[in-house]
Amino acid sequence: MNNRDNRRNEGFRPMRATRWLKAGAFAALAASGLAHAQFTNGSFENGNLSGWTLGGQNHAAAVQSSNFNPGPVTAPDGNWFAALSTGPGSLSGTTYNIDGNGTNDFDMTSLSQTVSYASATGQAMLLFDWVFATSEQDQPDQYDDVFDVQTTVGATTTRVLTGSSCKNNGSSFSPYPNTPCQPSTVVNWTITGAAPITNTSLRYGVGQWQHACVAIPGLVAGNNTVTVTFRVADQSDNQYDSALLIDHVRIDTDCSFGGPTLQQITNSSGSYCQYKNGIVCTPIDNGPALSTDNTGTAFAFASTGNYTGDNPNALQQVFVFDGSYTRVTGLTIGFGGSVQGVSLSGPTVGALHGRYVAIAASLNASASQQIYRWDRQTSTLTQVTNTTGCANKNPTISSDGNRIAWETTCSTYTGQGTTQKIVYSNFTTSWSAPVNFMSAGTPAASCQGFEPHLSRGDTGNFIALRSNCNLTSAAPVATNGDIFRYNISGNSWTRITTATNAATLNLSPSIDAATGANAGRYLYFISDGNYFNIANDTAVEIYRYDVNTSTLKQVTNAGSTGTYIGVNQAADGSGALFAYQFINGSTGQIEIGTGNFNGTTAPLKLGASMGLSLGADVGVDASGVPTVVFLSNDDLKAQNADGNTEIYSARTP
Amino acid sequence: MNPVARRAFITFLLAAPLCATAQSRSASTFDVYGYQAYDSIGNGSRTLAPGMAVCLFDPRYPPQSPGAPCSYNYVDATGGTALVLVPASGTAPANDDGGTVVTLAASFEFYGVSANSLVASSNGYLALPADASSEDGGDFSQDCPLPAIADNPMATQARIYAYHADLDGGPNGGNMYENYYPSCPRASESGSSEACTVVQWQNWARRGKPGTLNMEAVLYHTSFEIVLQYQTLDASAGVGVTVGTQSNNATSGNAYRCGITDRLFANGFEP
Repeated sequence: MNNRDNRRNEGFRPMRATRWLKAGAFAALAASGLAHAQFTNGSFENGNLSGWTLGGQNHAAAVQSSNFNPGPVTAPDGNWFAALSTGPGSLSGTTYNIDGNGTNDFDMTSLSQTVSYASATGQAMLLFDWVFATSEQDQPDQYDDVFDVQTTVGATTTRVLTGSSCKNNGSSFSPYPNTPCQPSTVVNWTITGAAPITNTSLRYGVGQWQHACVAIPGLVAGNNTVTVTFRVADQSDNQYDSALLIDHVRIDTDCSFGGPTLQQITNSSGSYCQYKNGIVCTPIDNGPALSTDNTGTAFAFASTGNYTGDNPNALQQVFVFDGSYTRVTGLTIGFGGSVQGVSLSGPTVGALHGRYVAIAASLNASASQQIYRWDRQTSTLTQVTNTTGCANKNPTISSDGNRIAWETTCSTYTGQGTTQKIVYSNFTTSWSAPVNFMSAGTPAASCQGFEPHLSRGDTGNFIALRSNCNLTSAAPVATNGDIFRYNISGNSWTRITTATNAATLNLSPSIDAATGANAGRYLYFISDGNYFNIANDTAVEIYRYDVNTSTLKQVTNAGSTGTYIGVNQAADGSGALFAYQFINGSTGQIEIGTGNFNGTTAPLKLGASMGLSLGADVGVDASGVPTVVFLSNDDLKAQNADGNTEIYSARTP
Repeated sequence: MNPVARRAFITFLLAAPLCATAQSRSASTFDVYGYQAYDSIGNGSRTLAPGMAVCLFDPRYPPQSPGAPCSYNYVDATGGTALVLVPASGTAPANDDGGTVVTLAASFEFYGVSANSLVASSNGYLALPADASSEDGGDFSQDCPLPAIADNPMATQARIYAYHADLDGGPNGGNMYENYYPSCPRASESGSSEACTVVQWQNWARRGKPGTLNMEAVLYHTSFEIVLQYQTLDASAGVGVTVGTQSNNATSGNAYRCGITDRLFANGFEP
């Protein structure tokens, strides 16, 4: 595989806008009926640069796939797009300092346009598609061509996106972050028939288009004038060319790429306050427990909200949203009780998107945390565990709802005191005694199990987990443990990772929902283990292991651009679709989206970017579109001014 | 139709609903299970007044004369057992926030579930089936609408809300009593003589409100009718209190009257 293909795809150093809401301004705008002006020729479908203003060396042109030899380059929107080139070759001795590193930049070209934008909320996003095709990928570090995107609102000009040449050695001479690498093979493309940039050399061809969605700082509720400027320059020399390709430039209220995708599903507000010898207030919030079905359209979640009208006292309950809200009425949780985790079975049964819900909850302040199963079809609650003085948590349920695995610190089930193990139980007419399938792991008294996930395409025959137990032939070196897969019917273990460093973090294992011979085949996880020595860094990346071929592949290559904090494999059975959570190192924002790994590359689609996320899950809807469901207290749709934790859904077509 | 007849007909149409309202019981909305509440005043206002009764029926045990008002006939249970309340968690004394288990001399069926005991709360409600480990009686905040998941630390959701609010026996030196009558002094609406248990709040008070609250809940052991009777009311006259029934797991509830004074604030603080 070529791991350089898989570098992160979105959001290079977007700057965060101040977010605020003026309800009065919104009302005024609504009353005035102001329309949002958009870019003239924003997708360059005029076949020229009409509407746009050139600057610097003026080396830009509207191009299409036929202008690339040999190509092709498919336009993200329509047929045309723009190319800002530093070439061909040397254009001028005029120097610039685009990225502020003091190194001369040459052959700078800019493309800008000023638009009027009426904002109801004082916030808006600049969206466009881009790819930075550079010939500098294998050149010495200092030849680090750059581009940036600026917005100007009033007297304030802000760089909202920056990037520099990908380097095969992982270096970044420019303070602008590296863009995704193109394939490492030199292919020597050229731009043809597109004066004045004809004969621009693109030694590595053109890589994958990226979506950008960045906040525009400085907007106010009402009318705004926004100037957007794209710039590209050749750093340290004026020889090897680079070209910034852009398309589909527009302003919108949110990051909905290719359709209306981002929705705020829940809408909780305020706090519940009681007065007696003082005041006690309980915030109305959702989460942290959240789990979606196979389609990503229904989800089970914990909340203190009053979605069904019977929870005015803001006690944390388990709800299911499946077009409308229902409460798990068989499990009424009292004061001081809490819901630790939920797992919604994947398949659609009749009209129910996910028939069963596994729940880890304590019923009141003094109750132990138990595992329950709620059958939505029969409104029947069954209790899986019955323990005292220990915890049962993080349940995962099979597709047929008849197997649940979970973490337990109950000696009754493990025989190992409070040492945390993973056990499972099967339902026939009642729940079986929990099976401590980790009992062979050593040292039994101290080694632990974490993060169980049952395979979903079968009846939960495989369990992905993390453990520091010696479950195969050698004990994990990593203190945090390695990733394993247990085959229940075969009573056998597969070791997925073999970290060689005690400090290595392997986390977030998830397993597929495939059937037949492919059941339990693919496991995704994140790790800072440098298994492939790419860029020799310790960034946390997403990996996929194929049990059938015993092949571990690195799915992403964030490098210095940030770190992954979670991955969930979609339950479509393909082993290709997944949701990710990523902390953008430049912005500090958490990005949530989906990826599609074909074994070599994994295009990522950003669903949303936010200050704080509290968990995500993923499904694939009837149209085959991955949909990520997540918790955030950000105001992503101008509907959450109070900052309560809400559940959002982002389709990523 | 001639003008006189038409005028008489219109007068009849206008008067009919008023007559119907004035003469029929004041039935509250049936809940999911089917519990029904109506009172002895029958004006549809669902306000409480001294000398008033509210009847609560399980739909499986309807009254003998549907449409008849719920009769008021206060039963003095002070000759029965004085209840010794146990403080709920927290710092409030037992007669402010507390409860006690009442063992019933005969079983009582509520929302289809038979109970042999209940917990009587200082805050104007009975929880059942319950024991001291599942209900502490300390729920001092009224709820509206019903069902509403109760929010005291040890809470049973199946409840009879006689006059649920932040009540207190302290200000008026009140006591609570329980008495079982093999033949209930107040005849039930079933038309048959039957046994009843009376739980009485005597010289009770609503915190922050002047006046004395004397009230009782009468539980019949054959028809499983519940009658709430109000001899005297505090100055609030029941404004903001919860009166009604709620099933286990709060899946069904019927509020004859309810209101809340707890408030929701976007920022969690008083404006």
